[in-house]
Amino acid sequence: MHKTEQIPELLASLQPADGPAIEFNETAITKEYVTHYNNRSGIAIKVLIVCGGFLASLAFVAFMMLLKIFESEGAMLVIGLCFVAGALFVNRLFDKLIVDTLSVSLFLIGLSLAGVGLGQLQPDENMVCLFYLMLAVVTIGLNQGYVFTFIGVLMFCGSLLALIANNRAFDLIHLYILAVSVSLAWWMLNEARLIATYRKAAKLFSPVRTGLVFSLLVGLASVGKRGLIPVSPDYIWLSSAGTIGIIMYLVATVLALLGRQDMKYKGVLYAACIICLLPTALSPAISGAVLILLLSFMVNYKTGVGIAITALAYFIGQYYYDLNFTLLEKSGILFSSGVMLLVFYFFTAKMLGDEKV
Amino acid sequence: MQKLDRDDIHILGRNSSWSAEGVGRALNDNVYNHATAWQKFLQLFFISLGVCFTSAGIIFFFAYNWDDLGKFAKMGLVGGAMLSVVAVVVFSKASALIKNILLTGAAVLVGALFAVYGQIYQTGADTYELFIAWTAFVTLWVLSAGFAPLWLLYIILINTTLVLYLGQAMHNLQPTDLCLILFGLNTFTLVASIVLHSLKPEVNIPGWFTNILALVCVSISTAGIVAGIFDKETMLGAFLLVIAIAYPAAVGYGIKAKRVFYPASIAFSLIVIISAFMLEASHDTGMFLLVSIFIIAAVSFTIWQIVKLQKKWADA
Repeated sequence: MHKTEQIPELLASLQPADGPAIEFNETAITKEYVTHYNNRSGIAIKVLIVCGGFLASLAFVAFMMLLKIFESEGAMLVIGLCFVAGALFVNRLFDKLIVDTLSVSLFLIGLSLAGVGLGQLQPDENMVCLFYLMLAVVTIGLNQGYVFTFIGVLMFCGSLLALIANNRAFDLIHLYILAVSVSLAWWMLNEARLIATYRKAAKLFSPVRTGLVFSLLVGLASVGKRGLIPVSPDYIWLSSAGTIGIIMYLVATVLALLGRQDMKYKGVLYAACIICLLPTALSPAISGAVLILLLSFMVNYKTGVGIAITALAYFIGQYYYDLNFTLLEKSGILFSSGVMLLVFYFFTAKMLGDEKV
Repeated sequence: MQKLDRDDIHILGRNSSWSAEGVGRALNDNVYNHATAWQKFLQLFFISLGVCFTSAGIIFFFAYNWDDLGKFAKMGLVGGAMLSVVAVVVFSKASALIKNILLTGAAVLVGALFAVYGQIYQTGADTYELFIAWTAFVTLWVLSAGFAPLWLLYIILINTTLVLYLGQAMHNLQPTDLCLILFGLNTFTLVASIVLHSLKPEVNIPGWFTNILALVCVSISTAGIVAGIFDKETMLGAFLLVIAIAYPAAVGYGIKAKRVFYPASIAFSLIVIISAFMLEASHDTGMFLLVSIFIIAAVSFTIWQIVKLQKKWADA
């Protein structure tokens, strides 16, 4: 990241040699650089804010329980909404990293109080889910800070999952996975267009991307472990069809990037990808994790790569653990898959040039 | 054009008339991965998964304990597979990275060989003895390869051996005692790898490796001390004394090496430990409120200090 004193030189270097000049709002840019400099936060600080906020809200909810406030539904709902509004207000008023833990704690406390209060006042659980869904949209709309937008996306997707579970329409999980996969791919592959077209909402890009990755993982995890939710085996391929389709699109993009145009090579690679991915048709979690890995690597999103590798290792392990085969049959599948992957390694090494890795 | 990172492009993009094509070009030129990175990634992806799957397939095969297969055939198969991999490592002209990945696969097969041996001859040995043998027999490979994932496997093996030994041979060991021993072992490994890297900078110790080790150490100490607080274990005092030395040293190293991970993780561990002490002292209503306020204040203070540190590093 550049320093504020380097901004004029940086802006000058970006002006095109021909064509219309780019208009930069130097004052706003300098202001954002200063804010960024004063609030630089890596992954460690973000984890600290979310975990700290979670623990503090847990202790506070315990305090409220001991105060027996849970016996009054109306009070809970009102106090909860006040906490949520207060959190959004505090975070908007002081756009500083240091108040993030306080506002996140207030927000989580408010969410739990309002949810329990509304749940007791309104017996229809779908209404509670819709309430959270709307609250998520309001949160993202009102507060474009990283942590709040991230929590907002998780809340939105979590509410959809809760709606599916409440109505026992578990097969709709495939629609959820498909929708989140497509949204994630579109969001990550259209970074430039999103920033340049929706300039006022461009701050949402990073937290929405992270939120969608986690939301997709939650959906994948729910179908990745056999028996976790009662999904019909007849429709399980639906989730995989979506993720495999997007992976094939990414393969085409990567091939174009690698500059390989010969049909024979392309045909072999597409066939290899399909052979690799078809066995995962009944395990959407694996193809979903591969999708996150490829997308994250493509746009150089390192946190996503780390999360995807961890998820992939877990989903593959879980898949083989759940498989209703004898150890000998599992051994055969694993060994032949391993040999096939090694063949792919030699193939890519030969066809792409033996890059010394 | 000057080198830009993602944050630069985002700030400039949302405060200008920069076209989507221009932003896309800047992202492509400065941030996104290119053909060379993809070649490297695909090769690593296929060889790592291939070695993992093949080794797992071999282990599953022997776990099946096929009766029709004679003992010599069993030993011969797993030994042969291991020797073949080692032969490829020694005699092939593959890159060092590929050889190291294959050697890691061979190290996993050593475990399978000992397991098959124990299975055939019904040695009646405790499980930890298998792990001791496995650990001992891969030591030379680990030392000679100097490959971080193989070192990680080795550290997992040592930890597993220790946990199994202490669980099977020392029955009256408390959770805090076990955590203290594991903390000592992993902290020693972490310190050794940091010292080695500072003495010999040419030895490549990746950041993820030391971060995983540090995270393991902090998690073990936090879990051990919290268990000790609630179970009133006798070794709690000793453990607190150990972290009173280890934690400041780790924060000092983090500041010196400009790595936020160390002060952040240690601060969070201390916040959890102090909260546990507070809750153990009293379960009253007011104490939960106090704990909640304490966590918010402590995390905010930590973030404030870390932001100050980062500014200092950026200005230096």
